Amino acid sequence: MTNFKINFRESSNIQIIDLKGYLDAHTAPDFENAIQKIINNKQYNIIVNCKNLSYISSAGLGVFMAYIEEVRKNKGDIKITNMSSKIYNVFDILGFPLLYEIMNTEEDALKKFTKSI
Amino acid sequence: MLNHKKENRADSVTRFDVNSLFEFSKVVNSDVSLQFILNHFILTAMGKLLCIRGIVFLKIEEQTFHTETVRGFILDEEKKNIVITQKLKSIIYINSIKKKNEKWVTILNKNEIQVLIPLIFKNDVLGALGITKLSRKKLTNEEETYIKSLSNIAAAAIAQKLSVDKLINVNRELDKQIHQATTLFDLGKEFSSILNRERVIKLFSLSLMGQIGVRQFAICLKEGNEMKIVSSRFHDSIDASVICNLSGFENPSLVSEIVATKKLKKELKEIGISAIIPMKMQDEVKGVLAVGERIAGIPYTQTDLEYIYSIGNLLLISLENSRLFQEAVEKQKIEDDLLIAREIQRGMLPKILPKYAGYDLDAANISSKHVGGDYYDVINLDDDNFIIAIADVSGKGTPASLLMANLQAMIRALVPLKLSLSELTKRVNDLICESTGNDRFITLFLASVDKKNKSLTYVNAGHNLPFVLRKDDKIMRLEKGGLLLGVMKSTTYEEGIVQLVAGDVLVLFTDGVSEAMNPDGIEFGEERLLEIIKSRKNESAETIKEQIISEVQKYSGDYQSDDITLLVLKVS
Repeated sequence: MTNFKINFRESSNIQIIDLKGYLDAHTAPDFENAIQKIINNKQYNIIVNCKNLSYISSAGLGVFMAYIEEVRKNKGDIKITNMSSKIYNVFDILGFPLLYEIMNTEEDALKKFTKSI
Repeated sequence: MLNHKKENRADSVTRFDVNSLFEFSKVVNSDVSLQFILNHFILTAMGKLLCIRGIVFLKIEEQTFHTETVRGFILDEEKKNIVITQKLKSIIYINSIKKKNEKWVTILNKNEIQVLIPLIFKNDVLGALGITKLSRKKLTNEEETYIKSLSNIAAAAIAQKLSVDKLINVNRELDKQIHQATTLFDLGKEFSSILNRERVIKLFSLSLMGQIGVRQFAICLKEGNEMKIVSSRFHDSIDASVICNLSGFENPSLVSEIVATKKLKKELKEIGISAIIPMKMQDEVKGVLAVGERIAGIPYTQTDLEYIYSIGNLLLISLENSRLFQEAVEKQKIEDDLLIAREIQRGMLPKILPKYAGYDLDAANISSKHVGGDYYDVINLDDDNFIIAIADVSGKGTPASLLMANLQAMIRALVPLKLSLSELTKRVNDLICESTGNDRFITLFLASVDKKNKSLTYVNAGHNLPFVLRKDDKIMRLEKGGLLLGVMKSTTYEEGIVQLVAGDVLVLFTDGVSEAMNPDGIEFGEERLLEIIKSRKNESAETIKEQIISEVQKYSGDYQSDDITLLVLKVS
């Protein structure tokens, strides 16, 4: 029914989430459940790869807001990578670059994580 | 002019050739930042005019200029904004200014700035360049010409850059508004399709956090007359009553701008509330949103507050819809239960009546809207005898139908014991008295028919007196028996015996037949019933039954308030 998919990968103890399709009000709860599941497993180093993300609504951005504090309290981070310029624009107009580390590639984010661990 | 000087001022030519201006123009008009343009401008000017100090101001408002870049000296932070009272029309030498006590003159003198060159684009002063020559000498004519040209090119590039930046800002603001509109649309669509309260609140929270960039907030809703927090992301230790008491704010307000007591302001600050947004329905405050600081302390704009107000009202409408939906679901559930109960009850009545040689038997129960407590039965006793029964439990609804099911179970369990009917009725009465309260009664008519001898033995425990229409048109009422069931334990019941003959018609009925009312409130009555039986006595039991039912239904119009239960036995 929905054209939104979440895929999980792991690379050297860092959880990578691939988002695909439309992250809107309808699908935001799925994304939230995914993040919640990872945090419940005490995994706090998270990369969200937006390479195949074609749309993000406020509710989708809200998921990032809802968990960043908890993740950072546990000495982790949510880094966001591979955004198309359209997606970046949405993050940008709402001021997200002030709060989140947004990186060009997944490799950059992985490097940054391994350096800090 | 440059060409004319070329012959005797060779070094000027190398320093001030047109090519260098062209190069400069090419660089500053390519895709570079404003800062890059200013840096390139100041360095080119200082290099070409052999300057040891340089400064560039840009106008931020009338007479006020902001220092953008400085070379060769350090300017105190608090002096970066400077008010220049003199009109910047052409090149000004600081030491030639008459009003030496003006603040801007003092600052420039103190920092040894020698000359100001205005940056003018289309008669508009954008800013100025200040320089100090190594030689401290006045600018030569060639130098003046050159710096004027360079400044004009720089001014054009700066003006263009500023207007592009302005456009980008306008675009960004537009983008933001489009995004807000999309979010509203998105939420409206989604809210109207979800009717689960928790999910509505969750989705609202995510959208608020995402769109506004706020992590802490509380949603407070009026339930009955009381405000209650339904969701909060503030710290658990906060005093919830502070938020619940904010329903007096009729419009979205910033805490920094509200008129309130010092105490309230302090409490709001302690919780971390930055803005208060009411949720209104039909002009009445039905809830409050209290929101905390935004990402990195970005201030709330009026548009932000209006946006939160809009989605807050969407939330309110959606929650109201979900409440109405839940109510409808509950109601439907009760109705479904009643329907099932009615089906079960109907299932307990005999579906196919047994057939007995020499007797024509038919019965029906037409239930009203509600489950009722009417009962009829035909039970095989042995080869020679069968039992007919009709009963009416007081009241309606599920309790009555439960008691009816009980009664049926008792009778069916006791019949095989072959007790006398008076003993059977006594035991049923005792059981009913033990198991029900004082407010429930049952009227029961029970009869046993001896097929061979055509004799009918009966007990009437308070039931509507059945008719026996004899062959000779005489009427007989079957009234022997006793008290209705459930009134008093250990009462005894008398049996009556009737000798039947061929042609007799026996009609058992409940008060749903005799007391059916017409729209004027007049009862159908036993007379009318008797007339139908008399007029149809030569027809089958089924025809008599159908005729009674159709007459009663015709009489009472559309509204049937009680069950119609009827059993007709014809002796042939």
